[in-house]
Amino acid sequence: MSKEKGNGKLCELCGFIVNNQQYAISVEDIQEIVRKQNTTSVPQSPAYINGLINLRGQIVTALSLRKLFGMEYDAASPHMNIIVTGRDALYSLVVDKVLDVFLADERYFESTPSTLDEAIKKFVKGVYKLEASLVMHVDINKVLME
Amino acid sequence: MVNSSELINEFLIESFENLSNISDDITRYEQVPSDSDLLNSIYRKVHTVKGSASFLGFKKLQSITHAAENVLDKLRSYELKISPVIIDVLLLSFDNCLEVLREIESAGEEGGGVYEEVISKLRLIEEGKSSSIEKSGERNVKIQNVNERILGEGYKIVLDDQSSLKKAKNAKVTALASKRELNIKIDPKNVEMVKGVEASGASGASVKNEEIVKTNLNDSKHGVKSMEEREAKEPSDESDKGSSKNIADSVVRVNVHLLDKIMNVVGELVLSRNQILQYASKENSPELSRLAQQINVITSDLQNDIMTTRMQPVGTVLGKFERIVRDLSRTQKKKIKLTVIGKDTELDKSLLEAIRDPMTHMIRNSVDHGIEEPDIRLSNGKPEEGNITIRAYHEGGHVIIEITDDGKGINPVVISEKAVQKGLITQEQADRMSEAQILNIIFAPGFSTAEKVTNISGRGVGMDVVKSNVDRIGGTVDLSSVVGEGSRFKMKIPLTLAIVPALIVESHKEVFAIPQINLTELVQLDNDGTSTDRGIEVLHGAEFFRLREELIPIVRLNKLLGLSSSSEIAQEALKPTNVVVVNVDGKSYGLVVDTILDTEEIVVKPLSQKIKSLSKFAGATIMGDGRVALILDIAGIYTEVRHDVTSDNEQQMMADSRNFEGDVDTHEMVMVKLGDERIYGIPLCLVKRLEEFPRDKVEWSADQALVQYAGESLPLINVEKMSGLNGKSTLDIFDKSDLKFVPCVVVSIKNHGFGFVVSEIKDIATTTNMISSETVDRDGLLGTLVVGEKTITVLDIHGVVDKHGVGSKVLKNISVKHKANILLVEDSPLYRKVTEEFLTDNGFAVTAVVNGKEALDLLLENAIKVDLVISDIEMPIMDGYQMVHKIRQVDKYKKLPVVAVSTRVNDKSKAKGEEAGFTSQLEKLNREEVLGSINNLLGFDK
Repeated sequence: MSKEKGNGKLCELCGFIVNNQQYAISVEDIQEIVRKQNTTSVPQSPAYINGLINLRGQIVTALSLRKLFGMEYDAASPHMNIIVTGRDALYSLVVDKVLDVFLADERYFESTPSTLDEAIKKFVKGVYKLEASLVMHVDINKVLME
Repeated sequence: MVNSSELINEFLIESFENLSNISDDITRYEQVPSDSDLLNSIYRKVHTVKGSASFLGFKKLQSITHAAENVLDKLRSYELKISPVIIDVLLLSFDNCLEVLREIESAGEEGGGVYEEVISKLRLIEEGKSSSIEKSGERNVKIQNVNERILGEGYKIVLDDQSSLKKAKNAKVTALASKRELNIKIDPKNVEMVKGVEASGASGASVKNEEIVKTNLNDSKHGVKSMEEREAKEPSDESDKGSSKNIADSVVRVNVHLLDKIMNVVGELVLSRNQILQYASKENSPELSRLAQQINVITSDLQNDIMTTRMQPVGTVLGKFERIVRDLSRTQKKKIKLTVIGKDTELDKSLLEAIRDPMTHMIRNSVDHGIEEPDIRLSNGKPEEGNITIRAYHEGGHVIIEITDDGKGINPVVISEKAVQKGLITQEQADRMSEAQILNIIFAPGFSTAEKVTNISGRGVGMDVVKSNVDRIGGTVDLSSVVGEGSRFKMKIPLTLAIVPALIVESHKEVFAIPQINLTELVQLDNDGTSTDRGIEVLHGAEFFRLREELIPIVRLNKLLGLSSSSEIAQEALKPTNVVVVNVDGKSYGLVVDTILDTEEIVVKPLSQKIKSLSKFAGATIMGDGRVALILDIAGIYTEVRHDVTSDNEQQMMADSRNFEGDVDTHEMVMVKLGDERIYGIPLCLVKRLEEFPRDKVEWSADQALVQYAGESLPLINVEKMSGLNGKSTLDIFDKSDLKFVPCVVVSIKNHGFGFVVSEIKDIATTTNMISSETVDRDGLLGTLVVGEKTITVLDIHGVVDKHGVGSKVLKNISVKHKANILLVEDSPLYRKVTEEFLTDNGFAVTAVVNGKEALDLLLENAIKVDLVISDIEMPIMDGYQMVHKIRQVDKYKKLPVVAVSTRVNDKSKAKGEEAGFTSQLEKLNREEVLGSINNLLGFDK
């Protein structure tokens, strides 16, 4: 990802892809990124909870962003886990693909367009207008509070 | 004086720890005064210290803690409000306790410290006169005579006898123990006399002919002989480890969390080792195999060692009870023999500490309430000497500790009376409880059967400590008792906290762990119709099987967790079935699983918040192959299925009731069967009681059946006749049948009771579905309601009563003069009707509309005079929030009282309602509160 030029406040974001669309979360929220893991499903849990994974002896609750955003989800298709630290435990955001870390300039930030799909809008802080594409900044707290 | 040094050591370690924790707790409590758990825990700690001190005869300690306990008790019951002064005095009193403890530690007795002041302060606070306590700063107390005094850190200071005690009268001595400097202020006149002190003092101490002498005691290990003035002394610095040689310090205390962490890490190491071993056996590399083997041995050793560091024989705890029982029985003039069996049984250290308090309380309970006085025993034909037996043993991966006495036993009648009297349960609840349930009330907070509050027990602390402590460590405690023969406490405790033995089972290819503490046995049912066992039997859609003449309900795990489709489950019925019989609080049920895999020691890991709300899982664990498996919460599953083991319909109802959210209306219906064998619903909010009247109690006045009920004659209503239904009422047939009881739903309307006679009272159902009134074809019926998959008819109780001739006279007496005009906004026909009737009964004119829009239109048109609006929140077209928002935009309605009613009121909804403009928010079902609030808002006193 190219480094944006500008004089606004910069913040480091990690980009990822869900259903061909680019999203990003702040690097500070991320503990690590791991490949696809064996997942134990939790019966009768909310649909967007993929299940539990074992991260070196710690139990991580995996949340599928595809399911959360109301998109199709196929367990067999490739995905990656972004491990984030929640208030009470570790969570994994299951995304299609993790992209690079980039510096986002606040000047290119815009609050969430009101026409955005309601299912996604509530999890999004706003949009970064990058040269190559638009990137939605996901509000990690909203995702974990859901 | 007591000389059992081992006992005192135990006491000191325990009390030092308890008291040092208390200071932290108290300061924490000061910041969060709403934390009643914390206050209770402080209270229990003080209670424990007081208890132990009184057994060992430490009078001073006992009186300080007793006074402090009284204050805490008042705080606990909200008779006192927490204030900095109270905290100061409490902290001071605990500091004083620590001081006494140190004296006990070094001298074996309490020493000469005088603690009247702090005790009297505590008494003042207790009497509510905390304001009269001056904020005393540094104050010098004149020392009357010279005694042995001990400094905070264990330096013994004695004024030499020769130094003319009388003349030392005016000497002022200040010891700053924390700085390990002895500041001795001496009146210049007396310096000469006190000089003897120096002469006999130890190295490093010097008293100069000056007004203030500083003596450095750093090197003085032998103790300086001098006096010390207690009042001016600052509490010794706990972190100053250099010189203090507390007995508590001879024991290395490791934070339990750290130990747990080490345990966890070792657990992970074991799992990784297993994987390496598996991998090594596949690879054809001798060097790898050798290394793997080495790691294997080391890991096993390490795991073993870590386990053993935490294991201690239970005898260390049990030993102290012999003394307690002896002392207690002597003060109570009882003869008791204590037998301890199985002292060598080993238990995890942290668990051992956790059961110390519960054990003490249970033993005291046995001595106090169990064993009778010798003469009573003799007259009951028992030996004069009572027996208390403590038995510790291993059983199925757990340690069992039983405390048995041959005393008078516990009488469930007395317990239930006490519980009702104390308001813990209602008489109705008590009537419905089984004996075992009643016995278990003694574990409820605030329950104590002791006649008077003594030093030893009473106050209601005690058995609740037992229960909460044992629960916390994942154990269980059971009480069984035979009146006249004795009682038995049985504690079941897991061996360690971190590692739990569990049974691994498989259901629909998913692996689950069942903690062994809940496990009773494994049964295989053939279900082929040929073998001797009967297999699974079905009652009303619920499955059971017989286990040694006991009927055990069956829960199919795949069905419960929604893993399999119903056709798959139907196929299963003919196959051999694996049943895991589990036990929760004395109740058994059978969990049907596909395969029983193995027993394994598992490391319990907590679940994240998002999954915790599922009551079916207690945690997760990592299996040998690295996969995560869920641990089943056997108790949680039981509460979940308890109501719906009977039928699928009700399961659906449960699901319905689980799904409802805060603002959605819920209907609670008493389901009854009438003469036509159909199910009808009576709104629970109208029901006063469910009764079964004995047949011979029913009297007849002409054609009207009556029964004497709560001092009045209660008319019994023939529902079938009044509502024009088919079938005969129980009232019609009961002369011919051999019925002994008439089932009856007593409802209260306009403050009068009416008995609705039914064939059978089935159940109470909760649903969020709407009542549909479109299908009603006759009077007496309100509408239909879908509960589960069934449709039931809801009886129009008001309609039936109105139609019913009896009681119409009394009903007419109600004043027709309307106090005020109320606009009722409610979309549910049932609540609309009920609330309307209720308000009319109470003298209000009521206009009812079905949604916010209609209400708003009425108000805007000024069609009617409205003094107050009562509104539901969740409504179609326009909800309560929007409505009130719009109402508030009209100037003349800015101050109109608009009350929101909903089935669930919480802080969040209150805040939202307030923001929208509601005057207040009330619970729909609490009619008294609604009425009170209306009267209040409209300025009617009552």
